[in-house]
Amino acid sequence: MMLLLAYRPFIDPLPIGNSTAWVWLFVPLILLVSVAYKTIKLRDLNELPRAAAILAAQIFVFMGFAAAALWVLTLFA
Amino acid sequence: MAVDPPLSPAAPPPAAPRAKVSPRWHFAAAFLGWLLPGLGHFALGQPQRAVVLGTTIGTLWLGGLLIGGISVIDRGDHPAWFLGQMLVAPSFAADHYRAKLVREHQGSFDPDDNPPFEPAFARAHEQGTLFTSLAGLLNMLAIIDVLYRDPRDPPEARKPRKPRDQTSVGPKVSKPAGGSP
Repeated sequence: MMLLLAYRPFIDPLPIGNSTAWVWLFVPLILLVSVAYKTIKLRDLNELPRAAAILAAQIFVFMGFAAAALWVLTLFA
Repeated sequence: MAVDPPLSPAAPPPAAPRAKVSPRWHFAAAFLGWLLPGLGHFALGQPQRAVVLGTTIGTLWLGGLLIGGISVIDRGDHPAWFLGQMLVAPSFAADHYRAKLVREHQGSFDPDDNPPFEPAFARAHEQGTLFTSLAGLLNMLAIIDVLYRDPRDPPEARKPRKPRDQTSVGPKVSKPAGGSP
């Protein structure tokens, strides 16, 4: 019997498999982390959308740099 | 127009007597924040902050469970990750429920043996664990934020600052009391 036929959300894992779709999970992860962190740090929540967007962009950029650096490292290692 | 007399630079304005204040600890609010993300801020009278924190941290935690399933919260198999996950109290309930399912099954996790849940592997396990652990770590920041509050920085002081045009330097014109007829 195929186990996936009885898929139950929050009990069974998503069928991500070996596809590269998992990379897109970083987008909600980074956005949620940015908003939660800035909610704690900011005094004025009116500044939250702008501050969270800037932090999310910084995380995206530096993760991209880190990924590129590691990729280059694997070429020569 | 009357001009205020210039203040002498040698004579600083008298400083207000610094009241001796003791730090204010909110253990009950911190406990509430651990029980449910955002509840601690709600208890301290910050409902807007509480809603945003509850939504973001709750979405991260539930998202992790959705991606990896119940098996990503396992105190026995990966205790180091559980250190982060346990900072959101419902992780204990999830771990207890997973252990109950395993206990009641009394069989192998072979697909032919009809296991109570499908164990997560590879990317699904990684991402599910990462989401739930990050939710716990962010909730730890929220708990620390409500645990200690400087009495000189009450919640009222966290209201929006005045716009610049209202705080500009210059003579203030006071409106007559009573308003227009």
